[in-house]
Amino acid sequence: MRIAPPRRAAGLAAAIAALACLGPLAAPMNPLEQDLMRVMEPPGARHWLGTDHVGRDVLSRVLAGAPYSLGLALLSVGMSASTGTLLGLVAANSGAAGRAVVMRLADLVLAFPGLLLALLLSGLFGGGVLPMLAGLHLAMWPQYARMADATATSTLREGHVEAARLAGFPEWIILLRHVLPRVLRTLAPLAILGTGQAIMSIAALGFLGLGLRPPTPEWGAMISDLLPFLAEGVVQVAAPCAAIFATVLALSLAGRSLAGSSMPPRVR
Amino acid sequence: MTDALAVEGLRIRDAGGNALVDDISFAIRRGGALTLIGETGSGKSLVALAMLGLLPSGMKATGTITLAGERPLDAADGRGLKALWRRHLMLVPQEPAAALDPIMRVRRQLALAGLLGAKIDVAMRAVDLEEEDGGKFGFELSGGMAQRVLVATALGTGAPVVVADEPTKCLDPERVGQVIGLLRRLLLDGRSLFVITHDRRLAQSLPGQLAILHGGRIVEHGRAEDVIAAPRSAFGRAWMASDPAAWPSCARSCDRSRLALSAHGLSFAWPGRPPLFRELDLHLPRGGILGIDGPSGCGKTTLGDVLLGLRRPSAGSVEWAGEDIVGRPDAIRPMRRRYQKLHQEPAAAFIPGVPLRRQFEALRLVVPGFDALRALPELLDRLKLRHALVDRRPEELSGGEAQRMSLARVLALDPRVIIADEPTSRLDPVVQRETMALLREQVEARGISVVLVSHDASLLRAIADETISLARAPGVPA
Repeated sequence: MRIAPPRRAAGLAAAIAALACLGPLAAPMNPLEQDLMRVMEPPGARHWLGTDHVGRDVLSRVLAGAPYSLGLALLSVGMSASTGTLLGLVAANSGAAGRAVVMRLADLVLAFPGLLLALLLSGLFGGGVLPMLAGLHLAMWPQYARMADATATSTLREGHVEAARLAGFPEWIILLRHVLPRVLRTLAPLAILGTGQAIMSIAALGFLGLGLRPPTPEWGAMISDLLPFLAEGVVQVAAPCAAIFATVLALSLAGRSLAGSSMPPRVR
Repeated sequence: MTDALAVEGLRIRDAGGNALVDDISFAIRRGGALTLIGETGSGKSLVALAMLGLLPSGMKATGTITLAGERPLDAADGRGLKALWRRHLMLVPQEPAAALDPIMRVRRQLALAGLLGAKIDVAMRAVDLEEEDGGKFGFELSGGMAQRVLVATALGTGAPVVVADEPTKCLDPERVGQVIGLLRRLLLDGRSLFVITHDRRLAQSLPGQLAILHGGRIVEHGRAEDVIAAPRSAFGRAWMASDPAAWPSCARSCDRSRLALSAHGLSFAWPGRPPLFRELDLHLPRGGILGIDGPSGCGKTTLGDVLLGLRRPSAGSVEWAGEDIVGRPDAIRPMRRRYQKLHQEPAAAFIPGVPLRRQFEALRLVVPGFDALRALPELLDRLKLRHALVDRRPEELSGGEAQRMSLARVLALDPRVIIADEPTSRLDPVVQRETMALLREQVEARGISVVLVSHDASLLRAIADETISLARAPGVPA
């Protein structure tokens, strides 16, 4: 029997959440403990995924890294999507002048490469998790705002909005009940793709010594740490890559089945 | 064999094994026509799709389809049927503007359909397309011209059997006349026609056979004149009686001194365009029905929006119960809920994907004392809607149910005036008649006034007390 899409999506989301919460507990060894006698050891009975360049257990690091990579990425995407949705709805609903203000602001931010802004903020405030989150938030909100504005503008022209206005519903209820659900539905796939990007951005900042600092077992930082040793240990580099890949894939599948189930098929 | 097309024992079942079309057989001789009529959802379009081998996956067809000069094909053999396109079979699809590539020139579209060189010119001349029309892009064509291009394709390819699926859907009467002319041209050219429609006028104007499909079965089949003159089945009689010209007339008198809505010297123009209408006066007494008719693009819908206070007119005044509302939100606010609109798209007034019950319950925010639990059953009974339907989502209703549900929603708001913008143009004739009868009943019972916007003059004659005709706005192509 085919599993109903919403249930499948819920299942995937639950698996990801479980990984983020329970991953560190499932780690067989201390992810920070170095064993310099066993560096770049291939996968075996003791280290299932081998060891890294300072002899730490790769499996334990991948599991322990889940809350950092996933949690921070989801947090930054959630924050930017919320800001973007709010500003997009404001832009769509406040006439030409309001839209001009919000959209020029978005243009201004979009003119910078996203990572540069995060880099700037992290650099100014001396690294750490909070400046990194603030920087990613600042860099990512405009794309959500643009999408939210476009969707809200077209939804506001639909018959049910006109009917609600004629019935005398206040504007905020129309935004909440008629427009917001549609906006969230179109933003979901964007946010899911954004999560993958955010994981990579967090990794890049970690690599530059901003954001998360070593030896925190963060997936992106693990990749950049191990990349020079690719020839000696393919599995060790592949493990965090596979973790990112599986997470992003699971998120996209969950997003797609959610998007598919929230709109019923057109009735002929 | 002289039959151009013979269909025998056609059955279509859905994935669950339910019969959607049950044992249909017919034959069209060379140069003849068969018109298939029936209500929405009766399986008309499925028959056409099955003949073209285009049934949606999951549906299964059985039976045989024979085209002149070919061996009989199994209806399940989609690939075999598709191989007959162009040489034997051609489709004139519904909504012609959507069937053409908007960014491809007409000549190229014709060439892609298999027409070569001089044949293109011949086909274009046959449908009165000018030489320079060949260089136009799809998006530049009006609906009528797009329809002519599609018929030109059918003419040019030489396919002996042409299938037309709802060729007059959403067209105004003038264009319906054009389409009838084009279809007759195909017949004169010796083609055989299989036409699917729920358009009364089209069905009455085509010669040949007429078949009525009801609940997946052909309930009546014979010469068009005979079936139209004396339908034998109950559904056939209901269908013929749905012609507004045959509706019993209703002479009513309303108190002309109490106006629910009036307008004086009303003009409207889009910026930089000639006015859509100018110096328009109208008076709608309480309990009266005012008809507004005119061709597509003449500003009927815009006029409705101006009367509802949704758009500001360029000049003139609109009065709600004697009070001028143009540019006065403070005057509109207390009466807002009393001036309502019925949309053309039946389900448009409802949020897609949200169960109707929740949408009705939300009305208590704007209607003081509205209790969906108490008021809804009575409202649904009056509009002859099954109570279980409110637990569905808007897109799960049929067109007629959705339009009645919209009417229920509007009535729940306790309106004084309803502006109905082509409320039945997307419904089939039998359902149109039911819906209109219900609208009229409610209007009379509650003293509501209605502005009925429609391009169906006979409908307005049957139901409106008075009709205003708008002329086509300058610069709008036919």
